[in-house]
Amino acid sequence: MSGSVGFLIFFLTYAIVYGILAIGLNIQWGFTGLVNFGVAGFFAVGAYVAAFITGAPSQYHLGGFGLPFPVGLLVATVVSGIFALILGFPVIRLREDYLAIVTIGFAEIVRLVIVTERHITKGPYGMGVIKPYNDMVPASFYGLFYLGIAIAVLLVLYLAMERAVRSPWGRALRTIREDERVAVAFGKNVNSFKLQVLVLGSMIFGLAGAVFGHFFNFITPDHFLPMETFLVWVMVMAGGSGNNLGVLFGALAIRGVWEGMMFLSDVLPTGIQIGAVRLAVIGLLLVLVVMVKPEGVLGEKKTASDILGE
Amino acid sequence: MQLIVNGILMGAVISIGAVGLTLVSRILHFFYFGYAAMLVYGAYLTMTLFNDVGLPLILAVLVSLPLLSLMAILIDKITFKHLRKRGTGPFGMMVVGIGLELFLRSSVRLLWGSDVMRYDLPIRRAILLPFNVRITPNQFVIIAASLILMLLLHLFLDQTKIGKAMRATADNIDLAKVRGINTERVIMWTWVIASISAGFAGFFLALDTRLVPIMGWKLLLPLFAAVILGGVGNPYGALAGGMIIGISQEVSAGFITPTYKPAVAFIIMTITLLIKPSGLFGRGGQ
Repeated sequence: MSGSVGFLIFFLTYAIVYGILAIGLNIQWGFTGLVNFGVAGFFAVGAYVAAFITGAPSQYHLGGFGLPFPVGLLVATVVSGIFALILGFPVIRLREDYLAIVTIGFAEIVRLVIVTERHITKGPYGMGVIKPYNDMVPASFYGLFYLGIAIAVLLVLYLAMERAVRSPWGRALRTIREDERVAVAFGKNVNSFKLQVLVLGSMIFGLAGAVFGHFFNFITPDHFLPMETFLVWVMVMAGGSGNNLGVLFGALAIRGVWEGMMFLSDVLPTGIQIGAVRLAVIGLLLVLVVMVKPEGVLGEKKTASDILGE
Repeated sequence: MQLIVNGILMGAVISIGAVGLTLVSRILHFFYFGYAAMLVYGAYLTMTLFNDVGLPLILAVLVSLPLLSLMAILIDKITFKHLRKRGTGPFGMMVVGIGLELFLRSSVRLLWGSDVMRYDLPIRRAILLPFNVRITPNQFVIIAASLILMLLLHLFLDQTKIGKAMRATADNIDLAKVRGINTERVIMWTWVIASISAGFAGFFLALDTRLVPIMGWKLLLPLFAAVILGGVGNPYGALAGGMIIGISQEVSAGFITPTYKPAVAFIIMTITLLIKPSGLFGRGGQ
């Protein structure tokens, strides 16, 4: 397959990983107004757990259980959920800005553990991750094949989440977002709903981690820097919180900007680090989104009847 | 014993930095992540003024502070002032602050590069104190200078008119407004104090270790832990909180892998939030 097609496949698969992350954050922030700055932490948990499950046995890291790819996805998802439950149970009732600091701290500590516990994760050296079903697909089509897997995962997730947010459960989430007191008045246990959403969203981050690891085939603690969290936040806030299609659009566009900046390196004077420019642009986007377009590009779809009006 | 001395040193750095952060958090009513970048800019501006311009080190620090204040006030005028007028909540402000932190940290990498740097000072041998404690002359200067700074901050907050207005605003913004305190003026002064606080903390940290663009971000978690432990908006609480966090972090290195030091700050902070969100010395958490 030619270089540019190969790059397009790489780009799209990468964008889908972030699309999954964005859907997960959208259920938390977009629909419920729950702040989670620890996206990168759950993303990392999912990636490493899946790598342990599907990898071949090794004396240098945990596991290598050699189990099938779907088992890896499943266990990664569940374990991320368990982490969210353990973290969320005590802290879910905190005010949103405190919750922001606590979740960001959690993600940093996950990364610290990955860096430090080398006998489990191989630390900063990074871990190899298998290519699932490698022996069944011709090498030249493997990229396309894995893109197909990623699209399938995203599609199932998207349809499930669209159903979830339209259900009575989803309406309760939006009530909590708009006014917690109203939700309490309707007899909803707000903290229980928030905890459910923290767990569900974080399971989705874990799933994204598993899909990412098996796509990239190599994971290091540097893949899970706090910047990844903010990248997903930009995608959700710019694309339109509370709109699943909007945040997918956001994921695609922001990934486009991210990869597009690579071509800047031909234009920029030598010695300018592209990594720093990227980070600066993401920072500026966060500032601009809040200052210029707080509702995002697409905004939220109306869910009430038109007859009711605004 | 050595660990406790290390802890006091780290505590001095965190305390000095936490005073500015606690006042910003309270008076501007949100947690400003860009504070980490102010710290980094303080350290790097001082380095340029000392290494390249050739000013004496103390003068380099003192010249960097007005530059830092000017930058902070300018950023406030461009971003937060508009958001305040529009009534943007603490969360929106926080996101803008994070954006600014990413942007400013990258600008440090672009301006000075990502390599580890240091102040051009002769390396001097550590002094051996009783109980087999070793301390370098630089570390001695840091501890002494932070004590002097704490005293000056106390005098400023306790004796000057603007210092009193700041404490009043930190206590109760609405009441301060009713009493005719010009809150925009107080906010301007808050940025000045924050710049002094961040500038010195960044300088001390760089003097004791090295300069890297990520140094501010790494200190942010212990800083927030100190602010929350001391009660948000309480400068004296921040000083005490900083000492407690600094000492616990360093002493923990005697029992657990030293890389887990930030986890100690995180755990103390989370427990504070769960048990007593107003902090050890009250005032915060409303």
